[in-house]
Amino acid sequence: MTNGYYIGTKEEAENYDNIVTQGEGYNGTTTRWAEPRQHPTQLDLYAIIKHTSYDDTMQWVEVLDETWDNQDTL
Amino acid sequence: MGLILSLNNSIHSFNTGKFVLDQYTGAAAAYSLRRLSVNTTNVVRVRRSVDNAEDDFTADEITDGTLTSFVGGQNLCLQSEDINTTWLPNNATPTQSTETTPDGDSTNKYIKLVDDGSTGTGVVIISQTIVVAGNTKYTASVFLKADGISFAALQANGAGVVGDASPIQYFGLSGAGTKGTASAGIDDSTIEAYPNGWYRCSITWTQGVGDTSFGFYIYLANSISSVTVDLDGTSSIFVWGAQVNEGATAGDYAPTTTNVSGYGYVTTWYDQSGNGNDATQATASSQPKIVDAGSLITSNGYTVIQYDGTDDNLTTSLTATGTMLMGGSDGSDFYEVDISGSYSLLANASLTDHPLNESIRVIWSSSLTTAQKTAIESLVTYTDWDFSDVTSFFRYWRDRSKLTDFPLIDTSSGTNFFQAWYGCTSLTSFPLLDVSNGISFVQAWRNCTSLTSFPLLDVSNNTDFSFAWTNCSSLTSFPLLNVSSGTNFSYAWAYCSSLTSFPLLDVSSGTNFTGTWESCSSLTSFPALDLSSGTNFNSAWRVCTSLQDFPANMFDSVTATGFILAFTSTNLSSQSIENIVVSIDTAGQSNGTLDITGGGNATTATAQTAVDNLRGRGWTVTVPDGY
Repeated sequence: MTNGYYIGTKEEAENYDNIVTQGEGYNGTTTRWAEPRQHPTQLDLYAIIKHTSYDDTMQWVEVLDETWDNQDTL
Repeated sequence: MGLILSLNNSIHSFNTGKFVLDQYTGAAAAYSLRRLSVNTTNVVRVRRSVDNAEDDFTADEITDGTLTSFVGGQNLCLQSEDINTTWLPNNATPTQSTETTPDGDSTNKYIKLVDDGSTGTGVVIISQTIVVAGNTKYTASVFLKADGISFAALQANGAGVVGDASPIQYFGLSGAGTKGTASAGIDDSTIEAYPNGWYRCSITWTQGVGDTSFGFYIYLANSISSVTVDLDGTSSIFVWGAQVNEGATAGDYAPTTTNVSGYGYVTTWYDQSGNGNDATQATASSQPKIVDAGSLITSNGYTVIQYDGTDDNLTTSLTATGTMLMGGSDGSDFYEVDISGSYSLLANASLTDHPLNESIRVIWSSSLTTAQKTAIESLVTYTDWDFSDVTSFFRYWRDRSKLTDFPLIDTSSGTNFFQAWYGCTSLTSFPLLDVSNGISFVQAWRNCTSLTSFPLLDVSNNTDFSFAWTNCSSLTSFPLLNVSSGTNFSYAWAYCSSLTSFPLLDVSSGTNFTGTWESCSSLTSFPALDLSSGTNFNSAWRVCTSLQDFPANMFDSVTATGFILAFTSTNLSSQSIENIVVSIDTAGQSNGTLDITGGGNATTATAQTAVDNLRGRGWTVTVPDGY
């Protein structure tokens, strides 16, 4: 089961994170929904995991293709 | 599926009364879902999916149900008690009502589904799209109550089910509750009456292989077979407590609002070293999972933390130089990693310096002594624990494939040894444990393929030996165990292919000998066991390819008629064939099946007479020479 990813600009991805984070009302250790992930070569492209309950107009993909794999996420 | 960390569900303290970190101090950080120190309180903090609430849990609270109770059961359906939100109406008006719901609530809320028309007929639905996994069985359920009409239907719309892409089931909401004929694709359906006129209805189906969503459709119905209703503003039912969960049955109802329920995510893995180096993850989508669909995640019978293999990780700010020890969840691996400087990432599936299965991670700021390493490793291999009050060893050491020997621990309280050493493929010997209270050894030593000997254990209280030593393929002999209480010996010594002899065990209480000695391919003779209570000998000596000598009178008094494939692919002598058929003939039973093949030795005249007698009583008999 997967919710897939939204792909957009850094601003769009961060805005989506803010919407979900505020909507979910996290408390305790958890402070945010997800960290936008920058494409390793197309640097203006960001992906963020979709939350089940929050839709957006960004492009949705079920899985990120292999072009996203080269990024060092550490 | 990614990195998995684990613990033993029922681990006990050291036999010294201390825990490993109390015995061997100096760890810079120590993480486990087990308790590692007398000073340990909470071992993990978990966020639940339904409302994002977080709470801390001790090792005991993980295993005693406290954690799963906190997280709740699985419900993939949103707004389970409010059909005016998330749900999409078709020809319908979700309406408020004070009707008392099954939970006793009579506040005014959106639970009434009413058609929105004024003339004609049509289909009235509320629905929502549920994200699921393909090729997986799901159950959708909901509490319904008759109002203007007394029929309804549930549908997994667009589920891609084989037979019917959108399987549907009708329900009658009166009396004891009735069901219409299920459409193709419905694996099961139920209706259960609840107080005050409510019914919990459910449908179960198997999602299409490539279909990762479906529409949960709740219909008004005009009858037990039609969803076309009058659109007059009075066709209505009450709808409450909708749920979708994985599996073949509707789980305990778990209410939802904006989030699905039943998932628990680790936000903090507490450092048990006392140094406060807790490993945390503040980003919800990167938190590893510990409860899935309402149940603890397990691997090989042990609770595990599961990483998604993408970005899940737990991080600590620890900077250490020394050694890190990590243990596999099933004890099959133990890892030692040198840390040359900072080590900030606790676990990430994209790293390669850790195993996929992990039960413990202890980081030492200096080099470890051999004793320290041994102590830590013992957490995984369970050689240094006090087991004296443990009664269930259910799958305790299963698949610990790197164990070459086993310690003489105190197992005297054990009653359940189901699969206890199953798959310990490197064990070459086994100690004389006290298992005298054992009453189940089902598959206990199955697939211990390197065992060359077995001790004279006291198994006298046990009744079920099914698969107990199956595929102990290196055993050349077997001790004279007291198995006199045993009734089920199905496949007990099957595939013990190196056994060259078999002892004169007391199996006189045995009834089920299905496949008991199948593929014991090195046995050339067989002892005169008391098989008189046997009722089933199907495949019992099948593929004992070296078996030549079989005693007489073995079956003289049995009531069994099942000898299907019993002696297939053996090498029985003519005298042994005679011994078998004459003995079965002597038993006097009718209408059975006996198969003896292999070797090609001729049947004697006496044997032929017995075969004739058996066939005269309705038996199907096959002998090697085709008589």
